[in-house]
Amino acid sequence: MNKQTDFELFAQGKEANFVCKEESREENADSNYEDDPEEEHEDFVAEIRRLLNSDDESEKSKNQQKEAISAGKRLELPVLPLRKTVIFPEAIVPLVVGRKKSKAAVEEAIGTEEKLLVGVTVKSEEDDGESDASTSDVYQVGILINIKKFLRSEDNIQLIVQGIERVRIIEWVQEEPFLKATVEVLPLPHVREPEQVEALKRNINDLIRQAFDLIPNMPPELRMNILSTADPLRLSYFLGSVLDFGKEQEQKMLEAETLDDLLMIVHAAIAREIEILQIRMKIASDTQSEIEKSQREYFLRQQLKQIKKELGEDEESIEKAEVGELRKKLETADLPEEVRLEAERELKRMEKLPNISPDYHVIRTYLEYILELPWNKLTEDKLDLEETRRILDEDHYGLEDVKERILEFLAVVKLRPDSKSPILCFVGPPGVGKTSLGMSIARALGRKFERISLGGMRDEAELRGHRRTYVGSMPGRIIQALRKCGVKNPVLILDEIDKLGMDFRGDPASALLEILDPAQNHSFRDNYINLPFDLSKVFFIATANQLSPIPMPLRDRMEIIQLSGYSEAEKLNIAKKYLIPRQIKENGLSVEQIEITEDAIRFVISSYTREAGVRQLERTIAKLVRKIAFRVARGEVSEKQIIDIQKAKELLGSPVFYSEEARKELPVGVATGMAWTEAGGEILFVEAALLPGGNGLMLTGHLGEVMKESAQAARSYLWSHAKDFGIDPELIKTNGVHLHVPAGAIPKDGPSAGVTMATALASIYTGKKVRSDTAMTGEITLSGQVLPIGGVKEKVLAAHRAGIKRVILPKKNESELENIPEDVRRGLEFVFVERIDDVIKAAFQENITQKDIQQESGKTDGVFAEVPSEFVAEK
Amino acid sequence: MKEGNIFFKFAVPKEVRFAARSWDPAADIYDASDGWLIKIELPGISRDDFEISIKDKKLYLSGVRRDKTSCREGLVPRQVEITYSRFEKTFFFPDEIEESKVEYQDGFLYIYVKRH
Ligand SMILES: Nc1ncnc2c1ncn2[C@@H]1O[C@H](COP(=O)(O)OP(=O)(O)OP(=O)(O)O)[C@@H](O)[C@H]1O
Ligand SMILES: [Mg+2]
Repeated sequence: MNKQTDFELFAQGKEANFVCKEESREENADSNYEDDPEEEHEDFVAEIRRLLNSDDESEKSKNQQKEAISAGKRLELPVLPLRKTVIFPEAIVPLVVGRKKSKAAVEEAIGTEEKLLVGVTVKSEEDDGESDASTSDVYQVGILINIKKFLRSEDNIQLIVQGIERVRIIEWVQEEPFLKATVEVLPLPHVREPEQVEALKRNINDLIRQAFDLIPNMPPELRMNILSTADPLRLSYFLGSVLDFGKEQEQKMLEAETLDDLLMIVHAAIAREIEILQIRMKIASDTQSEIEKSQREYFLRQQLKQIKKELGEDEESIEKAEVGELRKKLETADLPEEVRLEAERELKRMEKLPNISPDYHVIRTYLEYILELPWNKLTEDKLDLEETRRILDEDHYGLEDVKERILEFLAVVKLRPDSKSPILCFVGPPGVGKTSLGMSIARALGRKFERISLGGMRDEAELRGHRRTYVGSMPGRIIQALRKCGVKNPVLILDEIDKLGMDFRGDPASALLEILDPAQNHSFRDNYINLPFDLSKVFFIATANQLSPIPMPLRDRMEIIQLSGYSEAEKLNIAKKYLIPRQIKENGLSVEQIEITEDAIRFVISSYTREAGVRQLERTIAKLVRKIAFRVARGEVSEKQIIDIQKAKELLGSPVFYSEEARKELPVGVATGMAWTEAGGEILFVEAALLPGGNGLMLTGHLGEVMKESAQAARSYLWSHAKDFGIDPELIKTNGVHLHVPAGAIPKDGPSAGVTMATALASIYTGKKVRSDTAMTGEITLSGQVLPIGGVKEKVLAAHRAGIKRVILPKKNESELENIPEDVRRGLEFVFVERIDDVIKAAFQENITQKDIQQESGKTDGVFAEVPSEFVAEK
Repeated sequence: MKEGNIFFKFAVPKEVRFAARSWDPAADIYDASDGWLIKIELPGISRDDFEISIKDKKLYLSGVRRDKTSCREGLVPRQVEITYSRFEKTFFFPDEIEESKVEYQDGFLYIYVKRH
């Protein structure tokens, strides 16, 4: 085979298929769509053309760089001194150039083919705005930059440049008329100690998250950009570009030769910013007398220390004062013996170190942390079951059985105060009140409350902390939460326990297992603290949307309490009795000023929300109330505002959802199914199409194995019983069929769409339409049995929400109907089925089965034995 | 410690954006029966100034667009907005690729890539 491809030919300089014809410039000039120059301009145009086409390019273009720009390469380039700013690789920066020499350097660069120059930052702060910097004024490490835009105006040049590579100045070539130097391209910072880099990276991420909390008005794009940059090098340079760390720090970042050093500088800089922010915030809220005296003193001292440092006051005395202060605290603190001994040992070590040593700070932070942990601090439980009941009712509507179970648990705690606290786990769709129930429990018990989000946590160290060997290491979230609430018996909510991740960095689930294990958690050892801390007094409450992803051993350790979605009537009540009064109060209005009619609430529920819980609903109501509050505040209205449907529409804009989701009429081959999802439940449309001349079954829509098998079973059943359904078996034999379940957030691994697929297939084979007001769910077997499925309540609620009028369910699920709220039950007709034949009969407008199957009796032929129970499971 | 709008330190970017290391010319890719066509927007590139290499499933394109205008004595730049810069682009394919043909027309570079 001839390996000589065309592009290789081309690379060798033979013309090959290169259609860029040289002559287009000269000989073929008119083909380049330029008009002939007018007579009087002829000379002028000709002169410019001559310049463009002349062979004698200027000196500047000779300085052409052929090879790639990579580490070690030397270049001779004009130098642009930068004031007050450091440019990092990849950063795009606007510059205004006004000084004489600088302008000359830029002019030189813009006249070259590649528009490169070197930017170096000026060391001194002094700036008269006029005089040019000399070679001794600038740092040795700078940045290779490319001019992206150049615009000359009267007295300055505006530029947009982009940083490319770090360079070091090797030798100055000239000082007049502009600076010029030979520079060497520097390699990318390398990793010295991978573990250290990893630890620093995580800590920086933690700090960034903290910073985000402190700065609520940070632009979201910036936030996104920072969060999405995973490469620590790029992240560092990016942070250096967008944040103002000060010139010296930024120059150090640019000069850093290892990623370790770079991250350390970034870490210290961000930590400092946060500390400053925190002190400021605390002091600012001081007037609201929220901080205890000692805490205030601490922050003031911090500031004082900072001020003293700025004033250059004697470091040593500060150091002594710090040690003394810690010692005093240690003496008065209430600590377990083991902790006290360890703390004293560390304090002695710290005393011997100079305060410039990194270890000094590591130890200081550690000691401060230890002294602040609530080793022995407890709040007194108030365990009055009636009061608890009252508080649960005050915060939450309905949820009777859930509240009952909570009370049962608390009763046990009350009877045996020394018994281990139960670990509760609320499972249910978003916005049904899992987290807020946890808060209510804390309130009822009179305990402090903290929340830890486990969602996406992949790293054991996030729970358990990092060892103290690295600068900037921190305790894990559990210890952090305890320090934050200041007692050792808070209610700790472990949110999203089903979203725990796992990878090579260790398995947070196993750490959690230890944390939740009453046999072990009285001496929980955080890697950072490295002393046993007693977690046994903590009241853990976990929340999850789904039970199945929670590892079995964890599940076993918790008392699972299921919450399902709310019906429309329940939502109405929650809105009326809880959400609206709460919003009215929060927005500083009173019930004399605003009223939302029941019709309007219903309208909001059906047209602006689609959810199992009430979170969207709460948000939408908040929006309504806020808008009214705004009008009242501006004095635009004075009489009571009644919000009816009309007004709600006006305030909220056109509806987002239409409750008529069920289709008016279904085409042949389409059937409505119901699916269970994390968000509570949805209806879905299964579509079938004939493929004339094809054969077999084609499936699309990201279906799982189980679902594929039930599709096959459905087809085979219809085929083997074709006659019974009035289907011509030839039709099945000679045509392929395509089944599609539209993609969406619906998990398609369960078998519960079996009956829906069978119905869609029956429809396409018979050419008859399926009733559009009917939705169905159920697993099928090859012998035509319909087996029960899970998630009945969510599915039925979803169908009801979607405007479905009839629901086909497996007979074996009939008993679960009692969990479904009255109003929903009344609004639907239920058909319970045992066999595919029943389904098909119920699903079609007309009776298409030839055999007369009695719908209600659900009688079977009695041919098939009872279904073994292991088949009866979906979820 | 700088006084002043310390709260906004994080909040206000210093007018800096982040971008690709170098210029990233736009490319279209077409599936064909036996391979692919890559079309890259690269007006003004000279044929000595770019390089293509193929390895397994990857095609690597690198080069530089030079400004041949402003280096003429007698033409002084007033405004320059066209990007003259180095660039690199790597294209990944589902299969191993081999032969290729390169054409340049109306400012577009066409690379024909055959499935191995
Ligand atoms: N039965 C209820 N009565 C009154 N308010 C309720 C009820 N259920 C939920 N809410 C309110 O709805 C809002 C959302 O609830 P919450 O944050 O507890 O949801 P969640 O179940 O934790 O959801 P997620 O799974 O998304 O974390 C809260 O303001 C809560 O007070
Ligand atoms: Mg929650």
